[in-house]
Parts: sequence; C-alpha cells; structure tokens
Amino acid sequence: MEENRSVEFKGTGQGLAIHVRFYHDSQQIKDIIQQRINENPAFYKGATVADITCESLSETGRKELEQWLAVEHGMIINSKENVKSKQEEGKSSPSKPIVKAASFQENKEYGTKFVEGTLRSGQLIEHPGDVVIIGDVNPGAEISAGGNIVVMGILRGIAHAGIYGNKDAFVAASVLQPTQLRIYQTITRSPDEVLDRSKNPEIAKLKDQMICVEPF
Amino acid sequence: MDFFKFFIGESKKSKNVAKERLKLVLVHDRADCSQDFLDAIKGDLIRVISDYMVIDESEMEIRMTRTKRDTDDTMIPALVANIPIKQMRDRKRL
Amino acid sequence: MGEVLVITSGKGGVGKTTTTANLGTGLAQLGKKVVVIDADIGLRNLDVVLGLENRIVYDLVDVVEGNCRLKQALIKDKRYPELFLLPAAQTRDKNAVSPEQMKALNDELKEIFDYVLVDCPAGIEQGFRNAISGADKAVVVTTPEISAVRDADRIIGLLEAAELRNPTLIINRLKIDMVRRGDMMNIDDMLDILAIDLLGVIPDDQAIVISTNRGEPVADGSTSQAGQAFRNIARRITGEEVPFLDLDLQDNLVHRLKKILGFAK
Repeated sequence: MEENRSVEFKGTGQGLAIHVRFYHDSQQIKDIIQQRINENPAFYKGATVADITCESLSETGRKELEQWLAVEHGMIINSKENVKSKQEEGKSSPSKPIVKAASFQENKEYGTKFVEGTLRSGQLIEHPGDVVIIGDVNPGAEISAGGNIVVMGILRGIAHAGIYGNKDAFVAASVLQPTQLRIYQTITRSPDEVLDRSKNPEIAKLKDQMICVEPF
Repeated sequence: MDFFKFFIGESKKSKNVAKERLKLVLVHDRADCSQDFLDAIKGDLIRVISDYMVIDESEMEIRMTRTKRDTDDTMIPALVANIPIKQMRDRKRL
Repeated sequence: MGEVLVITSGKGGVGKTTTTANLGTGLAQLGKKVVVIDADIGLRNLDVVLGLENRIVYDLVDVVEGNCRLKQALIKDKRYPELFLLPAAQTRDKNAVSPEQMKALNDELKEIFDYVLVDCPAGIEQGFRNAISGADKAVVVTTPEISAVRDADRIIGLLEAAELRNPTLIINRLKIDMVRRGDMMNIDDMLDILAIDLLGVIPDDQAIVISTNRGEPVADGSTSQAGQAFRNIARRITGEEVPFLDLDLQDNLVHRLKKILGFAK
C-alpha cells in the first residue's frame, strides 16, 4: 500500500493530475499506475490527464509515460509542457471557430495536396501542407500532413495532422472512423468495443490538448 | 457404393493419388534445388571416368529420378547418369 | 536467456499468423514472457488477429531505424500482460530491414523474453531470409494439400541450408471426416514425405474464423478442439510431453472391418 500511495491521482478542472512522489524508474511507475487503473478501470478509461509531475523522470521518460497512458489506456494527454507552450503562444481559446484562417495561411507555402481515389492498406500520403482525399481511407493506410487533413469519404485508417507542431491542425471526414487520430503529438485510438459510430461528417481538433470530435 | 469401395481397396482413394503425385514432384524439386550438387558430382565423375575411357562430356547427362527397388515394388529415388563412351583407353599404356 | 522460434511455411494462407498468435497466447497462459514479431513487412496481419491494430504507434522498422526505443514499439496484449506484439510496418517493404538487423533485434529481445515468436512472410525471398535470421528453432506449418506440403518441403531444405536443423511440423486445418473417407492425406502420409518431427495437429475448426473475426485468439479460454490443440503445442514448446489429441482418424467401422478381414494393416 505504501508503494501504491507514492503515485497520487488528483482530479482537477482540466483533468487528472498525476504526481509521482518518490523515486521510481519508469517501469515501476507504470506498474503502480497500472495497479491503480486495475482497481477502477471504468474511471480511468478515456480520462484526460492534465499534468504529470515527477522529479525522477526525464523529459523523454515523461513523454513515454504519456504515450503509454494514451495508447494502453485510451487516456487523453493534456500535459504541462503542452499547456505552457500553448499559453505562451496566447492562442488558446475554446470559443474560437473550428476552422481558422490562420491555419490555412500557415500552409500556403506548401499548398494543398489532392488525392483522388481510395487509399488502401500500406499506402502512405506525406505532405508538409494540407491534404485532401477525395475517396475513402482504408484501415492500414496512413496520412501524415503538416497541416490539415480532409477526407471526402470514410476515414478508417490513421490520420496524423500538424506533424511539425501545428496544434491548430484538424482532421475532417465525411465519416470519421479512424484506427488512430494524431494531431501534433496527441494520440487517440478508437475504443476496443464496437460502438454505434456517427455516419455524419465530423471534425477532430485539439482543444485544450484533447482531441475533440464534433459534427460540422 | 461404399460396399464396392470396400473391395477396390485404398489405392484409388484421392489421398493416395495426392501422395503419389507429391512424391514424384518432390523428387524433381529436391533435385532442382541442388543443381550445384549435381554439377559437382558430374565434375567428379568426368575426372574419374576419363582415366579409363574417353567420354563425350557435352552429351553427358546426370539427373535425379525414381525407380522401383529390385527387392519389392517400393519407389526409391535414384541418381541416373547417362555417359556416352567414345573410346576405351588402353590401360596398359597408363 | 530466451529462445527465438520462427513460424514459417513457404506457401501463403496455411495459418502461420493464426498459429503465431495462438502459440503466443498459449505460452503466455503458461506464465511465460512472450513477444510475437510480425516480420511480414508491408502486409501486416498479426495485429488484427490479436485485436491490437488500433494501438500501433511505432513498428519494427522504426525500431531498426532508431526512430524509437524497442520498448516503445512493444504493444502489450489486452488479455495477457506478459504477451507483447512487435508489429510490422505497413507502409514500407521487406528491404527496410536486413538479416543482420533482425538478428540483433532477436538477440536483444531474447534477453528480455522467454520466447520470441517470429511470424514469417510467405515466400522464400528477402522477407523469409530476414525472418529466419537470428532464429534458434523453426516451426513449419502446412495443411494437408499437395501444394502446401510441396512448399513445406522446399522450406525445410532452405532452413537446413541456413543451419536451422531439425525444424518441427504443425499440420493445420486437418479435416477429420475427409481423412476418414481417404480424401485427405493423413498425418502419417505427411510425416512420411517430410520426414521431420511432429509438433502438433490443428483440426479444421470454425471457431478459428469466429475468433479471428473478434480479434481474440482461439487458444484463449475457448473450449474448441483447435484451441485445445494450440494450448497443447504451447506446452510441448516448453518441453512438456503432451499426448496428441485423439482425433479418431483410423479406427472407424470400415477400417476395423477391413482389419478383421485382412484387407488393411
């Protein structure tokens, strides 16, 4: 039990704050967190992590922990460093319109890449600007864009928008059912249970470092 | 129908057909994949036989095949060499 | 120090990936620390058979190229915390990895895991050469069809040429009713031709299709014959002596009658 308390979970307005009090290596920390999650899996599933503080973890160690929480437990990471840089930029405002002129301007130098037809498993579209797919993106296909991604069809594969740090990048699709969505460094994955998913156009973007999906 | 099959025995069963075809194919496959091995044998044979007779190297043929064993009818793999002899060497002159 | 087993077949579609997923699951059930590697770069499938496709961030090629650390690319199984998947890259091809890199990776993994199972791609080209590199043992999967057995024979020859001696055989998708009728080669027919040791026999079972649909290996808790057969093979891999499933192949009524009348041995 002593060990169990050395990692603290606190609920905050932005989400969970995880505080590691004693020295542990990253595997020990994972084990302790895993133990806590096992006690109440429903509570942690899909939870937002607002902050991870730990003196014994290096920057890469913390990044790895964040990624582990995101991929293994479907948590949404909204960590300190990301929040800070967001504040420094002074751009954060949840009430902003989803599609901003600014994000288009940023990518003008690279232009927009249009791809017509179905993207099949194993196909990879990489482009520093915006990418528009006129067709479906099948599971196993991947789109990696410096800017925004628009799929005029069903998105079932992996879409990674804003790879070079554009946190305002978005992913929009006629039907949004991706295996994984990534915007800048934030990753979400589809839930393991098959849910009744929306058949209407949706847009995903970062809001307070969470990937939010809403209809448009 | 089963009653007749009973007398025909097992040889016409499709699995036995498969097994026989497979065995034949494999002998060729196994020989094919060791062409270097066959070439090596060929080279050695030429060297040894040339001491005793003059042979036509260009017409010489060596391959893996199957043959019936003398003692029973079991098929066994065999190495068959076809070596045309042009002339016998005079052994006394050697 | 763990052991690296490569699961191979030559011919495609005989069940290498299903076998790898199920043996990984079976070994993890026995409390072993296991990693399954998808070496089929460009045509990955082990992730979907295990139901882990939506968790992939990094893959084998990322590890080899140093884009991430090995532990970041290992995906923990949903059911067994001691079972991990190292997925293949889907958007690359077989030439992204060299045999030397695979060997180094296997050497690193067997320091951490009890068993490293490598799911080999079909064919005998570069992908095959990469997958068998660094393996300690080979398992050949075949089905009772002429084409699959022929390719298995070819693979056994290539494995022996690569110093992977004494591979063991798994016969998959054996249809017991057809064997009884004499319309499918039986276990002895195949062992007679391939002349290697039998590791196990998996009966043809609809439960495999159903479990693959769900992304849950049939070896995981299922009462099906195929699930039991995979669990038995896993135990044999650990060195345990497990009798083969009684598939009731020979002792049918007609055969017994023929025995009595002296028509059959």
